[in-house]
Amino acid sequence: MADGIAGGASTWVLVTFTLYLIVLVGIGLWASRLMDTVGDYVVGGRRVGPVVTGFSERASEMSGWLTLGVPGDAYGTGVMAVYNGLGMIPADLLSWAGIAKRLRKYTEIVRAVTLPTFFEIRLQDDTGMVKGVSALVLIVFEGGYVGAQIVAAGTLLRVLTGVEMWIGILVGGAIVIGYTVLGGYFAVAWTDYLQGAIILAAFAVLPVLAVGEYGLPFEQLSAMDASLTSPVAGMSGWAALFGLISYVAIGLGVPGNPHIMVRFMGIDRVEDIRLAAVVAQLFMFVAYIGAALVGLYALVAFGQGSIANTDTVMPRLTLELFPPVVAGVVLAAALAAMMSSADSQLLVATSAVVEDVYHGFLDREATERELVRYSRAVTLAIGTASVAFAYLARETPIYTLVLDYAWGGLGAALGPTLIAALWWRRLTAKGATASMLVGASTMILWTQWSAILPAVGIGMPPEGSFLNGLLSVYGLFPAFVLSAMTLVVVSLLTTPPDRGTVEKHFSVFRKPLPAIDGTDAEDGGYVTDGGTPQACTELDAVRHQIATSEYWDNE
Amino acid sequence: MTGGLSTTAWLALGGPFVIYLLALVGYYILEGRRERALREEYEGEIGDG
Repeated sequence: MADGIAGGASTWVLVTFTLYLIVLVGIGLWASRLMDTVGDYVVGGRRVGPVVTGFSERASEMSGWLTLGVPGDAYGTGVMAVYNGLGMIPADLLSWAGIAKRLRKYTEIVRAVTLPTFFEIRLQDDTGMVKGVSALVLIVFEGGYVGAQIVAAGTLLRVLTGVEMWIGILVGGAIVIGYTVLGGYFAVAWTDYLQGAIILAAFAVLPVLAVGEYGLPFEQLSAMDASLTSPVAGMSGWAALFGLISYVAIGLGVPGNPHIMVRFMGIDRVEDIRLAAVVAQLFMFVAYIGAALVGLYALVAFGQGSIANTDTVMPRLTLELFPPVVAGVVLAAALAAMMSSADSQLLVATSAVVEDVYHGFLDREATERELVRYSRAVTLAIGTASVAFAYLARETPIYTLVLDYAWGGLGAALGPTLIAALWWRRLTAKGATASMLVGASTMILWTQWSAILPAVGIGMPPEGSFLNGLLSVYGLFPAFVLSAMTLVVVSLLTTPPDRGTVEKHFSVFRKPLPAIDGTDAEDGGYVTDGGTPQACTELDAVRHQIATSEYWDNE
Repeated sequence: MTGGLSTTAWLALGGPFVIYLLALVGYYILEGRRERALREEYEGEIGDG
């Protein structure tokens, strides 16, 4: 077993790291005792206002990808990694401007608590087709997300303690599954917020400390390798164009990723949206530029090619530049954020299996207690599958793992349908289903070209050619385009949903939220602007179901 | 060259972010006006929420 890279500082790092996690668990247990219902939990979360709303919309991405993945990308690519924000920032702003309010108001009308249920009601699909396919997409790609978070957690544990990667993965996986099944509410709004704030502060402060230590990095990077200071990483022609398209295309994933959309569904006051949007956007500016600079300074501090596992550059630079006590807190916050995200994603995947598939199709009469029992088994099964996936994919950089096996699949499959559901009255259930299937399968296919073509004896086209660029581009670009085209064509060829109902639903977009009376609701009085919100996000719904059934108490 | 990066590289890397920042300011102003106008239009139907 190798030594942890913390070296002489490792004791203090490990002490603060451990203390932070113990305090966090304590806060979680204390907070969950104070809260009688999930409604309290949700309201408590919402009382913190638009700043936390905006922060949490972004903090959900503070896990593996942004924390470890983007610095790793910058370490390998150079300054071009700043372009990780090229598509994400405008896509996020467009989502706040074009999706957030509409989705929030539509949620009020259809009382949808999960995206599959929202699609089913919006598209008036009584066959269960839309719900089933979207639930399947959620299960597969949210499972991929959980796997990626476990790899990230394993990487952090490896850096800190020197254990082998597979041990880190097993320990990380056991923690995630353990507290999801047995532990209850590990994360509460304020601790999530705190973790996001700590990591964001680290990304702001690390480059400042690095400037003090090394000066601006660019001259040294240029001397190391000229491509590191090139905005297109030294590429030219088709390769440069498709390289840029790949970075821009990352933003296409925003509308399809449930962990972002559910924040919109759970917004308390619509009039506060613009402030939440500003917070989320400023968060992104700091995080993307900071994360890229961390990778660039790792090049300066450790040298090019000296770190085989690029996922470790952020924790290594943290240990290098921060005092041990602070480094321990930052890395513990990063690990806790990963665990919290994995917990949420595991619960969302569980709800897709138990609520949307089992309860929706197989046994509509199942009791709450039965559903909870199945939930535990499903959480365990998906969690175990995610650990297996994490083990198999442990050599793949977290950056690629998230983009290819989670973010891209959700974005391509669900993004076009979500946008169309809110903006295009003519969307049909068949159009949405076909779009989801084409988006998900194209995304999976595109990541495998370099394996498929040689296997059938063709081989990849020569580097620098148009075809090579197209086949190597980030798969979300072709998958989203094909998914959107399929959606339009199939919708136009099939029977649209009842126009009167859709018109009635769409009319709420022209009203402010407090003017929507929710009279369509079966359960009456749901969420109003500034009123008393009930569970109204996917995760809240799962937690509500779990809490009302005494999930953790009845055995 | 400024600080080891060419002027073109600085512009190419920083330009989009400056544009995004301006877009954010524009969104903040327009969204505020839009929501205010909407609330004035529906004043009679809105309580104190």
